[in-house]
Amino acid sequence: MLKFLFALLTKGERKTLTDEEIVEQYLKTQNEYYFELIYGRYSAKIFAKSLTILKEESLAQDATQDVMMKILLNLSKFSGKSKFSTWVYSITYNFCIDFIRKKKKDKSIYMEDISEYEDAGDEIEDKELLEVALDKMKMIMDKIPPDDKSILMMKYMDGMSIKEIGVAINKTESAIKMKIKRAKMKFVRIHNTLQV
Amino acid sequence: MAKNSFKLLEEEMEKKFEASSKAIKKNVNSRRDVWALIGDLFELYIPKIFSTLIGSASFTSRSQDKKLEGGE
Repeated sequence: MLKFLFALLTKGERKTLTDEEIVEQYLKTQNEYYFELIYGRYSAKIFAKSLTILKEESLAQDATQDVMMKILLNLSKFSGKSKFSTWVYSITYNFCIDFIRKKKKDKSIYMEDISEYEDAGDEIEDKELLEVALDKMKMIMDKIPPDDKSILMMKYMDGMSIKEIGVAINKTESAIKMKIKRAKMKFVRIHNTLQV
Repeated sequence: MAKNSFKLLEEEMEKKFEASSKAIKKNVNSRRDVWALIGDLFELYIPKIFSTLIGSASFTSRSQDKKLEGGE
């Protein structure tokens, strides 16, 4: 009953509050209504990103639950230096990559490989990636390694800047630029093999 | 608006969320309740544990003082 009354009283507030204001209110009041707002805004997006990286719905379900709990338990650590959405997506990507790393015991994910940077050829235009047909996009995303996939998602799905991506995965801006270049090359290479 | 296949892919994946959303919500809520319960227990009992510890520590030091006084 109380929940219903509170929801009714704050109905107008729901759309107008920014993410940062919601976080502030939640930390002040600990009222679950504010967490529900965050959940409503981000759960589907977290699920979509997890599903794209992990490829299995059951894994994406578990990841969404775990990421939501991580967000809830770490809300007080959100400094406000970045956008709240960037913070949420960083947690999501890192969680998924860690999960794959643990599963495969592949420590090479996100490790620097200078030799691979050197063979990055000409600059590939963003248009080449952004205008791929959806069915092909799904096939490419299925084949591309998870670290390259997540870098491309941060840049083209979430519109994160080089600096923001660097903060999210704890790498320098120049390393991120090279990683994006390399990921774009892999994307185009896979795309070309699909066309044959 | 220019085409963005990444955004289209995200929308496509978001559509699949509806099927799992109830189960996810239920799990998140129950895990949140457990954390809230742990928090409440801490709030309730931590001050008591501290006051008991402080009480017993001061009792021990007082009895030691008395022993010392008696010894002298």
